[in-house]
Amino acid sequence: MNQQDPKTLVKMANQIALNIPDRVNTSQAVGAHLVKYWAPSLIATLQDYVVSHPNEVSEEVRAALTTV
Amino acid sequence: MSIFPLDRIDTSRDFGTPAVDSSEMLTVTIDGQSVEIPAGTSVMRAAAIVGSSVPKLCATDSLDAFGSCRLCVVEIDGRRGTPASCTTPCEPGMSVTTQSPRLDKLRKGVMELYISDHPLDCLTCPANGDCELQDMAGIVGLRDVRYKQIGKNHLDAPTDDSNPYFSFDESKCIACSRCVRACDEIQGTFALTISGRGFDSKVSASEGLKFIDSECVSCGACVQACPTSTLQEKTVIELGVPTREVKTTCAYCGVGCSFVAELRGNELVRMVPDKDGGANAGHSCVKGRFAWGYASHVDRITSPMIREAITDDWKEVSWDEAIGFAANRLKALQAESGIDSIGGITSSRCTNEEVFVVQKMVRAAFGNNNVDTCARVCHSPTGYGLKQTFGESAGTQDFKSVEQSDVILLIGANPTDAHPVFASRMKQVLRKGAQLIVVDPRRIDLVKTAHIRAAHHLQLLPGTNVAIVNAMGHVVVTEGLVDKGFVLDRCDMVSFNAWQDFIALPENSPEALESSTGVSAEELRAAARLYASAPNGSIYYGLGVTEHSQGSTMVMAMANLAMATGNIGREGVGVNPLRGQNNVQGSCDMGSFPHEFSGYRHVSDDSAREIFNQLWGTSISAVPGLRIPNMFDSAIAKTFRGIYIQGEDIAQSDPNISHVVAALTAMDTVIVQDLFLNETAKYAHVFLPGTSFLEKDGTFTNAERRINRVRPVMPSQTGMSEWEVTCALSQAMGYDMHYDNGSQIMDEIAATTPTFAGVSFAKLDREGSLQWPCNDSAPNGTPIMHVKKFVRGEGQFITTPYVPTDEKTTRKFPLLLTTGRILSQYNVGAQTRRTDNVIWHEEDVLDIHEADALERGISEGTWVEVSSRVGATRLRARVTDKVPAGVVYTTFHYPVSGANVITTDNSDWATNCPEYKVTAVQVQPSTMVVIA
Repeated sequence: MNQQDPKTLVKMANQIALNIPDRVNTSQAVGAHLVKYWAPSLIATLQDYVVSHPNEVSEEVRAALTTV
Repeated sequence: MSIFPLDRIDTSRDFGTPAVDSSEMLTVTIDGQSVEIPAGTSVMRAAAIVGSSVPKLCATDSLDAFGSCRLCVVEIDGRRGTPASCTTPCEPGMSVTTQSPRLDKLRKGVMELYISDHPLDCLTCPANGDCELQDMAGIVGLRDVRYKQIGKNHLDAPTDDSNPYFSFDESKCIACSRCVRACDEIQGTFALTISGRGFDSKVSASEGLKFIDSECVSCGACVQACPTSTLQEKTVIELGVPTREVKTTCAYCGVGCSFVAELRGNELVRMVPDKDGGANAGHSCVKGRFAWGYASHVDRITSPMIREAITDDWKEVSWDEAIGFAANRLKALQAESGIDSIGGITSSRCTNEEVFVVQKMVRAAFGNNNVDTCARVCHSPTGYGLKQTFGESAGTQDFKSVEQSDVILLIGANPTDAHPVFASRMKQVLRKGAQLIVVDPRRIDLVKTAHIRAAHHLQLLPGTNVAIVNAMGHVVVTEGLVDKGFVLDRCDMVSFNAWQDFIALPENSPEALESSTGVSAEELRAAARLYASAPNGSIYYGLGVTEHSQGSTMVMAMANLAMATGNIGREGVGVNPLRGQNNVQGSCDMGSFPHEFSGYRHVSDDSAREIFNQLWGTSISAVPGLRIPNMFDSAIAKTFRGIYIQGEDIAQSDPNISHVVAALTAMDTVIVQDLFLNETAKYAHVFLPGTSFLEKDGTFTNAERRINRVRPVMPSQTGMSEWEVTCALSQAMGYDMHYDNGSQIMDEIAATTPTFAGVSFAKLDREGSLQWPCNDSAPNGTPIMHVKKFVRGEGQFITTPYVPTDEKTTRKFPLLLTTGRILSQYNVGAQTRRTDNVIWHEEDVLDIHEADALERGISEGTWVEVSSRVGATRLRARVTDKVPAGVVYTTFHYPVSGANVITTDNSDWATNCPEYKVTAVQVQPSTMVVIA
């Protein structure tokens, strides 16, 4: 279910990846952050979008989305 | 001879001189009664303690002794003469006589002189029955005055009525200087003085100006201190002396001042700051003291209203019809679009109890976690950052703690405007020698004001907070200023070592960051050394920290700095958010966020969820709901269709208003609960009238975690409490929710929330206030947190890389706009615009530096267009050097100003708190004719 413009979610996720303090296990930290603070529908929307637009999110976000 | 028991003292009385904080005790005898008192206590106070109150006029226990009225003379065994008891300190073994024929004669003579130059109009005086001069004349037994009022006198002196809230009748002034000293010692504005000498001595505002034209900030301290009717509230003049009183809590900023509401019947006459108030200790500001008239403003809506479409006219209906209408529409939306298609927003202006039931309604009756709070747009990064580092989403200190600070690091806060009562307390400390470091793009008043000059003003470019605090951390680490003992004892060493390695990197040095921040490396190093080497260094901060794309990072960076320097866990230190609204702390505590229950427990926490499921008979979702910006986006996508908005004007207060309006317009059912038909109500289908703080029965929690009672001063104008309305809607939605009173709601909060386990209305009524955590481990509450260990165990250092905001200046948008508030107005102005406070601020203006103004052909008062990437608005320009070149500033107190028409969708990476404080704009003279 597309709850909102996925481009907003792309921006938010990329921003999280850029700012999350854990720079070693960044993708795991991003995934944990998404699960903890995002409604599942938003994560699902982003996952769907990234399938067809993989280059719009950072590598860390792409990796994170495979783990959540 | 027995010693007088100090625990029998009624602290609400006036003891004439302030209490002395000394561990050394001594014993004196007053009129034959022995009393043990702290060394340094005045004879007047000791006498008052044992009940031998000495007549006085120039003395009051909120001010230092002055010794001018000569009414408080006493006799002391072994001493010659009759010293003034207010200025005479007790000495061990001293024996004092407060009543004797000799003293009676002296006091009567003094009173006779005062009354000889005072109007004898007691029966028609507004202070009749509430006048210390009148009281003292009676106490000393004055029956006639030998000096007739035919000589030179002040009886025809003029009255200054220029202030909207109080008058200054010079003819009644006895020149006791209490008002002058209150302005100096308590408020710290130094607006008043005694001009002239001898007979010509008189109280003067800014040396001869009318009050309204002077530096007076209308805090009311002078009115409170005046022992006559010289400085008198106009409401008392108009309505008469109050006949009953109710203690309650102010509903403006996060200081949470306690007040005594004084009434005649159900008509409020005045609000007097409560001397026993834990947050304010008897002080007030212009808003809390005087700006309460909005509660009875003609714009108040007191009947429920509904309409099918936002283009229809409102129709007044019964409560039952409004509730039924709202519930049917919400249920229909869920039937069509799923259980997650609706949600709610709680308000930081409402009580803990009102907020708690709204989030309960969303989780239990709506059946989802789509609840958020207006704290999303102000202090959500505080909750996130302090939880990560310290383990609790709240400030660490009580307000009184600042009195023990040696260095205060004030970041992104302007307390003299936004938290004025705390600012006065802070100014008292600074005048006694504490040093101040201000980190702010603007030259706020505290940088240089009466008797105060900040040691350092780090005038950074908006958006570079993290760079500044990282650079300070770099200085601490690389110059050997780390408090190793504290870090070793109290903090997680793995995290500290990682942070230390990170912060020592050359890229975090003041020199490397100088070009980004605009702050000289030399000055930053000096400021860092000052904070780190202080015996007690404290951090206070405001929305200038949180409302950034790195708001959460910045909160964690400050926490790192405090831990590295050992400035946590005792008086005088800490990391302290200055909360914007009265109950920001409380609304967050009550489980208003979509991922957390009350007490900041995540919804995925099975044990926490089970507590609620058991008690509420529910099956609450274990995953987070939507945040406010998610709700807006989903509304535009037509998947989020209904919302309940409690006391929050999102169409004025949230960023990128055109986006907010698009979301509201897209929704099928918008329910607004508020005092007024605010901007958001234009898009509402149901209007549920709310209650003002004067009608509420509950609690607010202020920025120091202090839970204060809010008591009903007058009956609800709507006939319903707000929580009753919420319960009714919940019932109509099919979920049974019922309470008999607010006390029962607090009992449920206590039963489900470990940090509130020991809180009840009865205990609050007994203790006055309680600072959470309040439970079996801390039955009397917790003024200072993390004393022996952090809530999370060991303090967690977190690396905080500086990531510049996406919002950058360009040739098209070359200036950075930042926003804030001013003293006389509050938030979006819904309350203060409906009071006489508008006299000080009739419109929002744009502050612009002279160089930027000159370059654009802008002069003082020019109408200018301010445009950003998302919108444009028009404001009048004020040319000032309070902002540096390249930065402009405005407030958002009037809807017409449209400050948030131009702020962007950028937000904090962790919490989505909007980046209100950084918007790239262009400013140019407006070509459009503006009709004022």
